[in-house]
Amino acid sequence: MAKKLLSNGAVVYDTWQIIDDTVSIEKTSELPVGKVIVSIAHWKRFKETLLKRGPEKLGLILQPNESPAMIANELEFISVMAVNFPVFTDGRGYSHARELREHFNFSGEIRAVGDVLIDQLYAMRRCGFDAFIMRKSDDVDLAHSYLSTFSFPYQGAVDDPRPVWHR
Amino acid sequence: MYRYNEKDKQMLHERVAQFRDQTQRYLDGRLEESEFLPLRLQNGLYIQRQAPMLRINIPYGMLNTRQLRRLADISRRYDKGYGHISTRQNIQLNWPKLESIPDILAELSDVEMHAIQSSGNCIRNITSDQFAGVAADEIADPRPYCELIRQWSTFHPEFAFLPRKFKIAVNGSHADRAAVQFHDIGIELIEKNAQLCCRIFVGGGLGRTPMIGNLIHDALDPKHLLTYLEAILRVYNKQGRRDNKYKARIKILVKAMGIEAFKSEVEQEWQQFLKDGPSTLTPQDISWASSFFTAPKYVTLSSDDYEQQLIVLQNEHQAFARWLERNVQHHKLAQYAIVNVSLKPAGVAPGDITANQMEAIADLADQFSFGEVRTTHEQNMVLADVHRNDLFELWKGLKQHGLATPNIGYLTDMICCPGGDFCSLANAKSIPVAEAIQTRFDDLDYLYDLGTIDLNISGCMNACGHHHIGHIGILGVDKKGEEFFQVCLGGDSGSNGRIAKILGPSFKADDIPNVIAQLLQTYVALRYEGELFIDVIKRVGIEPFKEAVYGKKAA
Repeated sequence: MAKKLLSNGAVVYDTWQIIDDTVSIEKTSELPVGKVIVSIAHWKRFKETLLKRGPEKLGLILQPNESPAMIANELEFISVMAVNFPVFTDGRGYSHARELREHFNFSGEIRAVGDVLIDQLYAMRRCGFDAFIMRKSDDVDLAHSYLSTFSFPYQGAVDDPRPVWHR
Repeated sequence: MYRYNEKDKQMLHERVAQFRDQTQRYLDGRLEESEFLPLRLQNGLYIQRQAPMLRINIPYGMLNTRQLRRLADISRRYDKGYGHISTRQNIQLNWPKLESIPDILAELSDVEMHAIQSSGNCIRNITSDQFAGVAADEIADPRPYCELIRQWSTFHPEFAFLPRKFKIAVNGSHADRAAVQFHDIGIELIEKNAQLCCRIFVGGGLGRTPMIGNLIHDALDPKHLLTYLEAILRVYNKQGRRDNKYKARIKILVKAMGIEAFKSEVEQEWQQFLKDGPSTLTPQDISWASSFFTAPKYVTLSSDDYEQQLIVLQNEHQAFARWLERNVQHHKLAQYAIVNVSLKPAGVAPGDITANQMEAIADLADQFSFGEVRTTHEQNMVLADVHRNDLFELWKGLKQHGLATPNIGYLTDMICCPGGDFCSLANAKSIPVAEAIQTRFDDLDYLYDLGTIDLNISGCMNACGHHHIGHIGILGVDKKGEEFFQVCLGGDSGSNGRIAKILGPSFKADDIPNVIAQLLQTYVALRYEGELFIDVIKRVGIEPFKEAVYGKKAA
C-alpha cells in the first residue's frame, strides 16, 4: 500500500516512487510505470530514458552533500525535488530547499524525506518544503498542526522574505 | 533596554507550549531520547551529573531588576537558592527538575526571559561589552546590533541544525571587552572615513583547537550586516564538517579552506544572491533598534562637593578606597561611574550568586542605577549608571551582602567553569582549585601589588573557563583516571588576542597554589616598575617561568 504524506497541508497517498541507484534504466521498459524520483547520478547517466517520462512524472532526490547548484539547469525537466535527511540533525537540507526556491526559483514540490519528524516541520515549511514523508508513519496525521508552531517568524525566509520589523 | 511587544510575548508563550508538548511526549515515551536531546538543548536544558542544568539567556548581558528578582524567586522555588553566571553572560540553574522546566520557562516568559538557543548546534546568545552605552571609549553602542542579530537568529529556520554551536559577539569600543576574536563570528563597530562600519572576524574560538579569528571583512556597511551573516552561516551550514564533532566548528572549516577561499565562497553567495535582499537594514531599522537603548535620565548636580566628600570617605574607610580604585570605572559622564559587582569572594565558586544577593543587587540597582543590571563574561555583574554622589551608600549596601570584594581584574577575579562537580563533560573539578587559589592569595596588599592578572580555569579541553586566553590558564586533564592540571601562560582576550602556551607537564590539584606562587614570584622579580604580568610574559617569554616551576633541567 502506498505511503501517506502531508502535501500542501493535506494528508494524501504518495504517488511517487524513489528508484534505487542499483536499478538499471537503460531502456524505458526497465523503468517502473508512473512517477519516479531518481538520484542525480542516475539522472546524469540515464537522462535520455528519463526525459521520455516527462516533467510531471519525474523527480530528483538531493543528498546532504550535494547542492542545488549541481542541477540548476535541469529543474525544468522535473516537477518534484526530494531532499533527503539521513538524520534529522543534519541541517544541510534546509539550505538546499531555500536555494531551490530563492536562487533557482523552483516552483515544483519540494518534499522532505528520510528522518523527518514533526518537531522540524515548522522550520522545513519556512525553508520552502511543501511535502513531508514522515519517518514514523503515524505522525502524518499529527503533522499538519506542527506546520504552524509559531504565529509569526522574526526573520525572512521562503514563506515571507521580510524580517519582522518590515512587516 | 529592549522591551517585548505583543508579538514577542506571543512567541514566548508559543515557545513554552511547544516545549511543554515536547517534554510531555518525551516523558510519555513518544519521543525518543535522541530525538528529544537537540530539542531540550535548544531550550538550554542539559542533563548533568547531579540533575538537569538550565541555561537561561541574558541577551548581551542586560537585565532589568524585575527580571533579576524573578530569577531569584525561581532559583529559590525550583532550585537551591542560587544561580551561576556563565562566561557567555547567561545564568545557569544547576538543580531544577526536568518536569518543572516548562513551568520555569512559563514564569520566565512573564518577564520577557527564556532559554531559546542557549545551547545546541544553533546560533547562541549574542554577547557584548558589559560597558556598552556608558564606556568612555565607545565608538558606537553595540546593543542595537545585538538585538537585531538576536531577532534575526531566533528560530532561524535554516540554521537550527548547524554542524556545531555558533557564537557571535559584538563590540563597539576601542578596547575589546567582548573577546570578539575568539568567537565563531566577532563583529567590531569601527569608524572609517567618518562612517560607522563593521569589521568582521570569522573562525575564532577556544575549545580543543583554540584559534584567533580571521578578518573576513574590514569595513562592511552596517546595513548589510544580516545578509552578510546569512551568507557566512549558509557556507558553514553546507560545508562545515559533520562527521566529527571535534572538527565541526567553523574555525576548522576556515582553517581547512584558508581564509581567502572561505571569504570568496561567502562573497559569491552574498553578491550573487543575498546582498541588498529584504533583510538589508534601513536607517529606520537601525534607529528603531537604537530607540530601545537610550540613555537614562541622568542627574547633574550643580556642585561637585561630593568629590571632596569621597576623598574624606576614602581616608576614613580603607576598604571603600580599595573598592573605589579597583571596582569602579570611568563613565562617559564625569558625574557618573560604572560599578563592577564582584562575584568572586574567597570561598565561593566564581560566578555563583545567591537568591538573596540577586534581590539585594536588584534593590540597589533600583535605588542607584536606573533599575538595570548587567552580567559580564568574566562572571561578574555591573551597575552601569551610578552617580558618584551615591558610591559610598552603594558600597555599604553591596558590602552587607558580600558583593564588594575589591578584586576586579586581580588574580582572584578568575573565570572558572562549573567543572567536574556539576558538568558531565569535565575531566576535573575546577571549583576546588579556584577556591584553593582564592584562599592562598587573599592578601589584598599582595593582590594590589600584582595588579591585573587574568586567571582562567577550565575543567576540560572544551574550555568553558577560557583557559587559553587567561594570562594564566589552568586546564583539568585526565591521566589514567586521575585528575591533573595543566598550566599555560600568556593568553590575552583583548584586542591583541593571544593564545596561551603550555608551561610543561601537568600538576596535581594540591600543587597548583604553589605553582601559581612561583609564577607570581618570577613576575615580581622580572618586572620593571609598573609593568603588568602579561607584558612581562610578552617581553621575556615563558622560559623564565618554566625554569622557576620545573627547575633548570626542564627548561
